Formats: sequence, structure tokens, C-alpha cells
Amino acid sequence: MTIDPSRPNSDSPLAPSSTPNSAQQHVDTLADKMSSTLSTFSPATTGYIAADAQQHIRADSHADTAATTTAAEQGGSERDGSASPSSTAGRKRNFAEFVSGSSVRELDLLALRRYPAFGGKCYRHSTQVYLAECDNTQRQLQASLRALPSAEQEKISGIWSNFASEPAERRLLILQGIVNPVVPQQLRVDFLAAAPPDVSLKILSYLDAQSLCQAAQVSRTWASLANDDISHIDKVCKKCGWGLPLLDKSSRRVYEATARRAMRLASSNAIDVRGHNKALRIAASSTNGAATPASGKFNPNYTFALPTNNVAIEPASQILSYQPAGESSSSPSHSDLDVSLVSSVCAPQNTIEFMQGPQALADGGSSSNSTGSQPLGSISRRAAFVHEPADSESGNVSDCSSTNDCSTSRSGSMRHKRRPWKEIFAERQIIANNWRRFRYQESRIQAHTDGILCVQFNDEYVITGSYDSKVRVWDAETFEMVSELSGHTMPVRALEFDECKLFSGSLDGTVRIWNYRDGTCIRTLRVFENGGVISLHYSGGTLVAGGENGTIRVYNIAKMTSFTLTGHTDWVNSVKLYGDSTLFSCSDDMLVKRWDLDQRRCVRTYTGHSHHVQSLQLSTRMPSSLQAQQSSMARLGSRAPEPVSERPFLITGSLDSTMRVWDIETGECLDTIFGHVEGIWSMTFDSLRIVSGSNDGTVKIWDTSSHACLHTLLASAAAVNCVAISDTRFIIGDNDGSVGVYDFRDHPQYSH
Amino acid sequence: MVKLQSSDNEEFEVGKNVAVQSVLIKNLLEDLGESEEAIPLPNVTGKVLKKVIEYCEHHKDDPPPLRDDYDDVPKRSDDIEPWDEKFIKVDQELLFEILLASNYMDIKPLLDLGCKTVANMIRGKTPDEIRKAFNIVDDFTPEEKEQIRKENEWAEDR
Repeated sequence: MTIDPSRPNSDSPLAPSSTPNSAQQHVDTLADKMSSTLSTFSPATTGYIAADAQQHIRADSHADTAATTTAAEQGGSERDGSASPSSTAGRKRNFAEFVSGSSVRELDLLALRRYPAFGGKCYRHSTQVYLAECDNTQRQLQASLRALPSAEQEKISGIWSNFASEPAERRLLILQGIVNPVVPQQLRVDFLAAAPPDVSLKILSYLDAQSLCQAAQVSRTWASLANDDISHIDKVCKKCGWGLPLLDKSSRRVYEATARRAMRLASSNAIDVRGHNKALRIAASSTNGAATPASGKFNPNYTFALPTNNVAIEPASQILSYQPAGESSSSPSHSDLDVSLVSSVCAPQNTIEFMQGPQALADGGSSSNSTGSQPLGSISRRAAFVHEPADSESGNVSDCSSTNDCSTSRSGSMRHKRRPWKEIFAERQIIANNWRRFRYQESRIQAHTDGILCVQFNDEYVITGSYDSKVRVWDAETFEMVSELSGHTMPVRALEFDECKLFSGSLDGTVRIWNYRDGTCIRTLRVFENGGVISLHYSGGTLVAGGENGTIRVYNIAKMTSFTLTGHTDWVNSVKLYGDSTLFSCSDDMLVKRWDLDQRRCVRTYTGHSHHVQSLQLSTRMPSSLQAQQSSMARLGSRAPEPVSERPFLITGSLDSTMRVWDIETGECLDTIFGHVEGIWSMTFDSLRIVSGSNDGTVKIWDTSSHACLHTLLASAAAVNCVAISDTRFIIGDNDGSVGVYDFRDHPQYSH
Repeated sequence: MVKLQSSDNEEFEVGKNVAVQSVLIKNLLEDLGESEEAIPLPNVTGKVLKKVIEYCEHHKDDPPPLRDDYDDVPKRSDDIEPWDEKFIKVDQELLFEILLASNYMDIKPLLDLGCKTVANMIRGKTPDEIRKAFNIVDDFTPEEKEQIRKENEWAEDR
């Protein structure tokens, strides 16, 4: 134990009473210095030091009565002691002083005063025994110290000697300062810095985004680990992409712009050379070879096999529905022209989707080459890479544009691996907070001169159908009218659209298929001779129309075959396909029916509503592995959804002012949702929220899991005829012809 | 029976079904065959090895972990069994050594348990509280601090 002789020792002789403040400060800074030095040691070393300090404390309490009485002599005796640290005797003395602040002689004297009967010594306090004990401990300490690397040795003995140069009463203070934090500290480990990186990342992988952000602010090491995109980017909630589904805005804009340009080019080509398959090839190859099948011919199946509204989710199935040339000969000639138009609109977009794929990012070269005939195999590989398995619920999910967005952005999130996870989470978090606090930007479009009967939207367009027999297409950001679709002669009651086409159903009994981007009507189907079309649903090449006459017509669009389902006795207000061969419908006859499309008959009737059933929506079927992830979504800070029953359910809204939740399989009514005071004209939901619009102009937002009413809004002076929802907004159409858009994004891009 | 030897030369004799929960040992046994000789574990002290064996003893009859939970993200950490929770209630130093040992010996459930436990210690704490809990020195410059706060402020409830 050595003391640096050059160290100025002027502090130690100071009487504590004379300058208590500066002395205390000194002790504090010393203690601080010591703790911070301590914390730079490995845990094991810290242990030694702490053990040493404890030893001192014990010794100190033995001796401190003696110490306080002899303050004046300390300075001198310490300097004496420090002058001969190497000899054994010196060490003994030195240690005793170190401990007590008094010399051995003084200790003896003190003992003599206390225990005259034993020659001044009780057994325990006999100086010899005591010193022997101390010496023993000291030897052990020295041995431990010598076992350490020399740098550590120096540090520790530095601390000891600094300490030794302090007067007794400050030593106690210093020791308290050291021991208080040290004892627990020796048990503290900076896990992330100390563990191998893969273990550290594994630890962080159990954290939610919020805790990760806190962790990122702890230290540099923690920041670099917590901000690691590769390991945290995968925190995907499969229920809806990211807990809060949303496509990457900026990159989506880019691709939309590209897509629009490509589309314009493609459709102009297609129009120029109408009727020629060649048009397609030109259109497709002019943008990207990947979209052109090896044969160079399109099967019409391809076009109509597109899942509704949803190109992004199932690229695999689209690609797989490319067929070799042989099959395309089966295409009905009359649809050739339409098909070519529609698919030419679609093709470039598919291309764009692929370009966004991680594979495409990785080998951008091959996606931009326009050879015009990529081998089919390579296309499939790409498609597989883009990743959603072919059975990825699109049939079940894509009932509404909202759940649809959800799935789209899920694959979207797969795509944008390069974006910092934090940015994506932040975006979603802000939206979640806005939903929770019901902070929104409201925009109004006076869309029609008469009541709005139906509204659908995606990220690009809002489309409305009205009593005035018109369909209008609006830009989803600027709310400028993109096109007006005229042709129906009666009010338009139903809409369905995807990236390339729009179906509209009208009371005039027809369904029209439009290229809504340029406003051309591709085809008109006369569905019912004796009444209007009330409801529509399109999925996977099947178009279903519910009629005023209580019948339901089911079309296979590719083959242009159809059949009729009878059972309802009044207007069929909503139809929804579920999987490949199941259909649900609800009607003014107060019934909800489930149909088997293979057997072409009603297999179950759900009774309970006491008035017209206006709307019907199906839940997505959730694989059980997703259940766990919901809880992590809750941790994300968004409104905590209760674990949803795994069993698929459907919700119906009725003019009896209630909504009912049904078990799809058993037909059991699981819950009745009360809250509206007037009839519910429209209801839809996604995995997080139900939105319902009532006759009295109110709109309510409900929790999809708990069915609790979250918000109520007086949205219109007139009845709310239709509602639609996505992750970031909901849109209502009222009976006065105005459309209300409620946007929950933070920085609205539009100017209203 | 399998003999294991810690870094400080402590020997432990455990049942094979206990030992093979460590993939490291399992592979060693498969590659080298069983022998009377103790398997040396130079990275694990006797104190830690004892603890690890205690864990493996308790879990020797567990069904093998599901493969697919590997990529189950985001993972949850609120599913620790009561016995495990009690088992892992140790000071940070031992916890850390158990983490390292389970990583080295490749005992996934134990590694999971350790990681979850540490994650639970981190969760819900402010950066200051985390630094206190793990005795970490804040090494950010004021500028970095401001920057990093901005980056992360969205996570605060607004």
C-alpha cells in the first residue's frame, strides 16, 4: 500500500469544525471520484474493492471512538506511516493507522485506560490479537490484489492511499459514500455491453418498441444495439402489418407516380391497337419484361383472377395464374378486347410491385432489363420472394378496402426493410395515438347533388355512388374529381374496385365494369330483369350481386357463367364472399344467410335482428400464432386490443339500431352491440375498429375486440348512408350528397 | 450418467437426459461417444454449472421446444413459469454468468429465460432508471443526447 508522496496533504490536518463545507465538498468529490473509478472495473474487481471497504468499515467502527479523540496528531502520524510502507512493521502500523487514524501506541493507551484489569487489554481488543487479525486480512487483501493485472492494482491501491490520507471523520463519510452504491453495484452488470452481441440482441428482441426507444437512450452501446434494424425490423404484427398498417408513404408515392405513368402509356397503347394482344406485349414490355409471360400471351383468367382491390398481397397467385399459351385459346373471344385493356392497366403495376420486392432491391439490374421474356421460373422465384404465401387470407381479408390496406401494407412492410424500424413505428404510433385521442383532420367533399349511397376508397382514390345515378372518382389526397362515370340510369347502390377496375351496381338492374381511371365503361352486365342491384362483392374471379327482388346472382367473370340463389324475401343489402365457396348475405327480411356456392343453397340462417339488416362484414381468420402478437401490439402503446377469439366472426348492422356479432361456424350470436339510438345504415370494421353510421347522422367508432364504443361523432345533419375505414382514416357519405373524410395521420398531405 | 467438469475443477455427475439439454454436450456425446472421463467446461464455474444443472434437472422431462417459436416475433416475455421465475431470481452477476453459460452450452430454453428476465428488467424504465439498474455510465455528449431524445420522443405517450 503506497501513498504518492507528491500528493499535497494539506487537507488532512484541518480541523473539521473550521471549514466544514469545503471539507465536506472534498469528501464528496473524493467519494464520487472513487465510485466512478470503481465503476470502470470489472464486476470481480469491484467485488474486491467493496470487500476491502467493508473490512475498513468494520475496523473503523472498532476504532472510531479512539479516532475522534486524537484528531490533532493524525496528520503527523500518517505521514510517518506513509514514509516506510515497505517494511512489515511499517505495513502493520500503516494499516492500523489506515483503519483508525491513530497510531498503535495510542490504541494501546486507549485500551489500557479502558481495561485496567487485563493490563489494559480485553482478549478481543488486545492489540496483538487485533493486529494479527488485521494483518491476516491484510495479507489476504494483498494476495488478491497481486492476482490482478498491474493497472488494476495501481488503481485500487490509489484509492486506498487517497482514502488513507483523509482524516478519520471524513473517512467514515467517504466509506459510506462508497459502500452505499457499491454493495448493490457489485451485483450490477451492464448486460448488453458485456454479453455477446447476439445474446444482447436476443434480450432486446423481447422488448416492445417503446422500451427499445428508452434503451436506445441509455448509452452508446445500447443505442447501437437498440437501433439495429435487422433484428428489430421484424417486429411485425401479422394481424395488421405493424400494429398500425400503413404503406411507406414516400416510396409509395414514387411507385404510384411510376405506376400512373406506366398506366397512361400502357392504356394509350392498348387503345391505339385495341383488339390486339400485341398491345399488351407492347405495354408490358415497354415498362418491364417481368410482367410478360414467357409465352407472350395472356390468359383472361389472369386479369380476373386478381384479388379484389389487392394486387400487392398475392403476387404469387397472380403470377401462377399466368398460363402457358395453350390455355389462352379457351378465352371467349368477346372478352378479348376488355381483357387486354384491363390487363394492360394492371400489368405495369404488378411490375412495380415486384420492383419493390427485396429481391428486386437486391438485384435491381434484372428487374429493370426489358428483355420482354423472362423465364417463368424466375418470375415465380421473385413472386415467392415477395413472399405472402398463396393462401394468405386474401379471400377472407379483402372484404373491405380497409383490411385490404392492412394486408397490402403487411407485404409493404416486408418490402421496406431498409427503412429504420423506428421511423415506421413512429409513423404508426402517431396514428395510433391520434385514433385513441380521436384527433383527426376533417375534410368535406360536396360530392354529389343527391344522397351518397356507397363509398369505397384506397390510398389513391375515393369513389362514390349516388342517387343521382353517377359514380365519381376522387383523388384521395386532393379530393379533386378524377373522373365521372356516367351510364347508369338509376341510383348507384354498390361499388367494388381494385387497382384496375370498378364494378358498380345500380337500381337499374345492371352492373357496369369500368376503367375508372379514364372513365370508360368496359362492360355492362344486366343482372336482374325485375329489379335493381343492391349489393355487390367481388373476389377471386367471382362477382356476387344481391338484388331488390331478394335473389342473389353469382358470376364467374372469366367464364361468364352465372347462377341464382333464392331464399331471401326482400332486398339483399349486403353480400360477402368467404373463402372459395361460401357466401354470406343479409336482407331487409331481417335475416342473415350463409350459402354454399358448390351446392348452391342456403346452409344456415342467422336470426335475431328485429329490423332490416343493412350491412355485413366478415372477420379475418387469424392463425393461432398471431394471438401472442396482439399483446405485443398492446405494449406498442396503441390501444390494447383484447385477444380476439380465433374463431372467425361476422358482424351485422341493422335498422333496429344494434349490431350483432355472430360465430361464423355455429351461427351463435356472440354479442349484441347497443349504442346507436337510430337505425344503422352502414357498418364496417377492420382488425382494430368498427365504424358505424346511423340514421341520425352520428358515427360511432368501436373496439373490434371488446365491442366497446370508443368515440361518437355527429358527422352529418342527414343520415349517414355509408362508411368506409382504413388504417389512417374513415370516410362517410351522407344523404345530402356530401362526403366526410376523417384523417388520423399527423401531417395531412392535402389542403382542406 | 455424464460427468461434467467446471473451470474450477468441480465435477458434477448428472443423468444423460439432464446433460443433453445442452446442445453442446449432446453434440459432444454424439461425436465422441460416452466415456468415464468428465467433460470439461472451461467457460463455466462450478457455482454457475451447479445452477445450470439445477435448471436442466427440473426441465429434463419437458417436451422439446417448438422449432417454429424461433421466429416468433415479436416475442413475449410475460410467460415465465413460476419455477423458472424463482430459479432465475439471482443477483445480476450470477444471472449474467448463467446467460453466458447457457449461450456457451447452447441450452436454448435457459438462454431464453435469461434474456426474458433481463428484458423484463429493462422494460418500462426510463433511460436513467436503466442506467441505475445496470450501473451504466451515460457516455453521450449533450448534442448526441438531444438528437437521440428527438429520435425517440415519439414513443412517449402524447
